[in-house]
Amino acid sequence: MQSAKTFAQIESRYFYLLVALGALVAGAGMLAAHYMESHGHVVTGMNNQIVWGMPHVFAIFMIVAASGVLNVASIGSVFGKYVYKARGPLAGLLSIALLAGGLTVLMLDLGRPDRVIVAATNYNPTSVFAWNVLLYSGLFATVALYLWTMMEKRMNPWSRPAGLLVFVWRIILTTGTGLIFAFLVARQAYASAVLPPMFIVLSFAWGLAVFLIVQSVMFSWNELELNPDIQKRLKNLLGTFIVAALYFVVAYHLTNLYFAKQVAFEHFILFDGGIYPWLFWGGYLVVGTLLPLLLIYAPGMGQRRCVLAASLLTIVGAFSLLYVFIIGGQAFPLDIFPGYQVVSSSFGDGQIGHYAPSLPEITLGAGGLAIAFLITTVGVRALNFLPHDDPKTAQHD
Amino acid sequence: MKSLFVDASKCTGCLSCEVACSQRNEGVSGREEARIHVVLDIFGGDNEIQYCRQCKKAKCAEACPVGAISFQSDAGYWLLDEDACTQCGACVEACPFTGVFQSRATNKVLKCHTCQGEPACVEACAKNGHRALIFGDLNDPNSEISLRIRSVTSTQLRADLGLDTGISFVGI
Repeated sequence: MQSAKTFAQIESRYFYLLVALGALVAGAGMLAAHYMESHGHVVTGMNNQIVWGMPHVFAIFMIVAASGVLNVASIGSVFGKYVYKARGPLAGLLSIALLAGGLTVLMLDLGRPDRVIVAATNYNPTSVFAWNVLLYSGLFATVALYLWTMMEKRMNPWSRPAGLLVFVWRIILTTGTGLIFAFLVARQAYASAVLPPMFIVLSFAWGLAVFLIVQSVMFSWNELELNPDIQKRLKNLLGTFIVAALYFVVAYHLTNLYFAKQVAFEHFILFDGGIYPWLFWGGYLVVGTLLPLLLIYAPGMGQRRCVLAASLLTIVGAFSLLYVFIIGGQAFPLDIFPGYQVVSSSFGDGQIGHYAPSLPEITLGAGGLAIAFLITTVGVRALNFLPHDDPKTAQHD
Repeated sequence: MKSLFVDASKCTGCLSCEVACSQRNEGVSGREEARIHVVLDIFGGDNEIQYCRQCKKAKCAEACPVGAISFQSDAGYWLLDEDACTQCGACVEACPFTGVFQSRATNKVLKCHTCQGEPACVEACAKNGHRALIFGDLNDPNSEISLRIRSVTSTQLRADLGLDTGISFVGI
């Protein structure tokens, strides 16, 4: 318990400052939401073709990462690895924090927050959006239960079944997030069955990246050093997830290129779509994938700072990929006349949708991140979420 | 069953349909607030009309998380319950024809319900002598819409999606 005590003493110098900073950004996000609500979508970059904008990039990142961060806990509880088991409570807290942040952004951006009661009391079983309402709120409940079983000694025997429940739930949840896009038959870009598994693997990488950043900061504050064996294991896991995510992204684009009807879309995203190819090749592939892999696996790399940098870059890549996927996918024109050669048309069927993110949208997204930050900061202050490692077990595990 | 027939080749781009629609349904004369949109091809003259196709298997209704869009089987149109609508935009995203709109000023979702059987756009179009829009009873073989549909070869767009669009049109 010495480490927990030390942690409380050290971080108390920063705690109120961090809370004030988080509250300031979260407050700015709320004001931005109010501004957009009062003035309408006209003050945003969104329009009838690009209905989901920058706030959705933030929200979906947080929701996907909320699912993926639980992977750390699942490896511990479901697959019995002690090293990860010690990290289960922190993973659970981060999951709840990210989900709260993501859902706040979604609720404040998508429509009328004052009608949230309608969404809670009216349920359309054919709607994948409605399925996700259940899945998201269910994740809160299951993770809370899981945390209880992990953190209260007498409930410990139940942590494995609770962990299994969370594991299954989050796989279904991330499948549901992928299905939101895959079920949008109107949008050519999303017509792929690979989207649900792709989102699951992306969640592993993004969630672990968030976890490693938070863990690194917590250890630094406590002036603790992470056991080198554990450090090596976690960085290798991150590298594996980044490669696996790349595999699915490549598979998605290659299969699209195989189908003649998708070639135009792929050209748009990968080559001549303006900002989108830049973000895909530069943001996702180079900065968000290759650089992190270099920082993890290159000779002389792989130390704490390298892993921290790799995690941060993975998140930069995540935002780039989501921007390309969500906004680029909508910007590509609808195929209203399939099978017809449109000789001349001024209709939306041949025009690239224009989107430029506005400040209120970005502020709202940042506000969601701030809420996740606040929950995490208060959580680690109030309860003992710092992973306690036994070096001997770490070696044998 | 009542249905709408659209002959885009007769559209002159006068926009009276948009004005009439926004006036009747929203009480304002604004293109942004209309449930039918005419995209003008100023040089080519091939104006195109965006509107709800009243699909039998409507993707908007399927996507709506709160089930705010319901089919009025006797009248043949999908009605958006504005009190239940959370303005999440899922229907806008789901429609393959860009037939559902969201006002950029009020965020309100705008979907044609054929003015519950007496469409203002059709009246305005007829008043201006264009007759690009015809509304009538498909069950009556002698109605103007039935005669018109029989006289032309119409095409169902995005038949691959199996939506069974409830509106016929020519001149695309």
